[in-house]
Amino acid sequence: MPITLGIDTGGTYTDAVLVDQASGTVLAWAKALTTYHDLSVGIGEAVAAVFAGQVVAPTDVSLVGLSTTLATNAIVEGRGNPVCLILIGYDPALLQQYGFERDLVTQDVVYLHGGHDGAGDEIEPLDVTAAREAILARRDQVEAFAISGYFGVRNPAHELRVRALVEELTASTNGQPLPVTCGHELTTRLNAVRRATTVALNARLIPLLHELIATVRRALDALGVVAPLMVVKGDGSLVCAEWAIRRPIETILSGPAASVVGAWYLAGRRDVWMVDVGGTTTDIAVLRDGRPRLNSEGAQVGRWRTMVEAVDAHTVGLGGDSLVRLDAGGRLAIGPRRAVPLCVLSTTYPGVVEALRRQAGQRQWDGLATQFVMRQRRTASELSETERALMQHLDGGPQALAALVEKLRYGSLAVRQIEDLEARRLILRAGFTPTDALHALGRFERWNAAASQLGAELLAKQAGLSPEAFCERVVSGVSNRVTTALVSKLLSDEAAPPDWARENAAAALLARALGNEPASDLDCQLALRHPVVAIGAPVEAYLPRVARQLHTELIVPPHAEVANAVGAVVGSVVQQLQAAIRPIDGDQRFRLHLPDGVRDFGTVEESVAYARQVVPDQLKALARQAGADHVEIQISRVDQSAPVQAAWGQPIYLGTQLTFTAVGRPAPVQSA
Amino acid sequence: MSEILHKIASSLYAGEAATVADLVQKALDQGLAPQGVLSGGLIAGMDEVGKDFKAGILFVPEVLIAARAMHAGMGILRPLLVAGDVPSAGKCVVGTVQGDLHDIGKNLVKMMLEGAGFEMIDLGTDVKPDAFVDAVRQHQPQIVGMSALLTTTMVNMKTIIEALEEAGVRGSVKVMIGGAPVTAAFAREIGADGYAPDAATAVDVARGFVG
Repeated sequence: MPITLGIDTGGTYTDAVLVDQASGTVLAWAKALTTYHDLSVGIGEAVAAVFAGQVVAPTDVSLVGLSTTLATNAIVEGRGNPVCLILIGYDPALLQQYGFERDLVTQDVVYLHGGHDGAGDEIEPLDVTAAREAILARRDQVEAFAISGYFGVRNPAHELRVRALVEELTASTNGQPLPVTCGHELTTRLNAVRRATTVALNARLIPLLHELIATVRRALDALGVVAPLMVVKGDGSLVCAEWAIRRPIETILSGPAASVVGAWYLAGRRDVWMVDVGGTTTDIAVLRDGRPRLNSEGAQVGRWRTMVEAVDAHTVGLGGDSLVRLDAGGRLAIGPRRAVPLCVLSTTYPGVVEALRRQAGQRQWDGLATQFVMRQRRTASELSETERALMQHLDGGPQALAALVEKLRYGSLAVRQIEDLEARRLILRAGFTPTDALHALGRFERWNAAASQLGAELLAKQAGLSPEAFCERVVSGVSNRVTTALVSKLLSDEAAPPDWARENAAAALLARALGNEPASDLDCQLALRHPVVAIGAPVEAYLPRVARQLHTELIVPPHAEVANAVGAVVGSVVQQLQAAIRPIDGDQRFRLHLPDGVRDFGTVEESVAYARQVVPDQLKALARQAGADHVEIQISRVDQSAPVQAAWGQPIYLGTQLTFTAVGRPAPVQSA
Repeated sequence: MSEILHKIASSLYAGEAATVADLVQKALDQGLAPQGVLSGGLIAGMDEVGKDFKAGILFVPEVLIAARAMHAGMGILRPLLVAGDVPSAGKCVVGTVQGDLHDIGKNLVKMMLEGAGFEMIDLGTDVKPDAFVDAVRQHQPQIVGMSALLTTTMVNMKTIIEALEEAGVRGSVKVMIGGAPVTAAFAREIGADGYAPDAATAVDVARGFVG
């Protein structure tokens, strides 16, 4: 039975879903809170819950797909293990002058003589002795090696030689060689600096992803799930766990990619805008011809620009769990800070309702009213003395923020300290959120609405509105923000990124188009040419207004709440290899750049024929390693030439690019 | 425009090097600022030369003679301009690509850009991709200009752009190309930012890049 298990670890929730891929139906789904200190805890809980209904036996599952934010989070937070970056033929003076050293991720950088030119010819012989010394000096200090050669994508010979040295010299100490990645394996594009960034980030993530995969595997085994585990890449395709461990950088933006694939699978439409309203963030991405549109510039994660082609997602710090506040001027602000909704908090801690009632009785307004703080489930991090004192106040459960700050007697300093502990994920904030607004309005009924109503009354009084009007304003505020984000994304792609805060005329037009200036004599309309597929929870509350504002069709597919988890397991395995042909010696000969080296030919067609002969076998092997079965290979060819002025002769041949794409189904369970 | 600046411009157009030098000195003696003499006299004159060159009224020899007059004036102004820390219109590295020894077109572009107030770094002819990268690193220009006069060396322009990309500095410069066989479509195809069919247009393209 082709039953598959999809798992998505989001900013707030970890979702698990059982999909029968023969009929395309969702059999069961479950949610658990994401556990940042150890993602596998939340994953284990969600998976256990999805089997609790006994719709499917764990042993009937034939494939498990996981989309994980681990790589993205680790990069943003600067986590990772010590690695050594070996650069071959790079010019340290140039790197220093342009401040590119900051882009090298690690402090431990070794510069080796060697490297190639754009044609793939050796500039300088590789300094093997220095390479050997550098590796030997570090093999006990680092957990992985990263290698990037100058023009290594035009000729990987030096990268491959150093890689072999790493494998030889690190294996001799403990039997198993240390992980090692080369730049040419991760991209075929030029820019030696960004390749170095990408390959160093990759090396740093290897031990982290290895650990995650091992704990998830143990959690699955404990539940009796024996099926192979695959991971979603940033382009929405799947790779087996072993492959993901070698190339963890390819899993960045795995979450948004799974959302797009899930939206495509559940909605059955090939050309749509995907809006995924999560707890913490809202992702916007484009599906064209059934595939997520990729960012050809390479994905940006935190301060790093990588060379990983991932889904072109626009992420906004806005979701169902965004903290709703009134700023000093009494204006409504939603997000980007995340909070546990009052309705959720009071379900576990009923005392919260009483605390809110007390706050409502106070005459003086406190900007921190309706907010609470609590411990994260497990804390292992080192604390200062004052931090420990603060944490002790939270031993008995959530505390009202205002009361806590008063108790600590150091006012705004305490607020800042709490924010710092929050950033370190040691404590959680709770407060009024859009999810509470929906509960107070009676449009969503999963948790304790009493706390939401009290929170709404408190804030509404301050805003000078009725609780209903205040909640309506929060809900339409979310819709307006989503619409604005969609318009911003479109304008960024097609013209220039808008700056609504500074471009007053543009902001005024947008406000009129959104229907927020009914008194204006100018009416204008925006129309989105493709439908919006909305996923996440609960999109029915926010997205109809967005679709009306943009005069487009809204599709909310069944199981929209867990579309991201569906997308984690319904993708294909896709691998690609490139071969390029360039004229050399003034058009007398042609050089074929293959994934593993260069070869010269007398004509373009001979080069093409050779590539078509050798690359498909390499690619098939690669796709199988990545976990594919029934692999099909497509070849696309682009010849590049350009005209010269009349009377100067024929167009000039510039080169040929051959792209080999392998698409396969994930290989099924090996043992019965 | 004052009388004397007008005279400088028209003498420059006529290619009278000695007169231009005399007039520049006289203008400075009258108390005019060096920047004013440069922009109102020399650059204004060179702009006229460029316009008429583009229109086919002037030809290469006349432009070269005007450029020589420009240099005569600059000889007097340059020490004062450096002292006065006058911001240049921009910095530009130029060269004829590897395998190509033609330099008249490249020199014309250099002179016209100099006339427009650009600080020029001339790498000469037969310039290897590495040398372009090194010059960019050393001088950090806003613009790289490349010239090729042979269909067989045109492809080297693509190699140089790739070398800039690999070095990670492609994003920090604008690349413009030119030369008799070169076309706008060729420039687009190899990823250059601009194409100029003649030296006067090169000034417009360069000003567009830094403006």
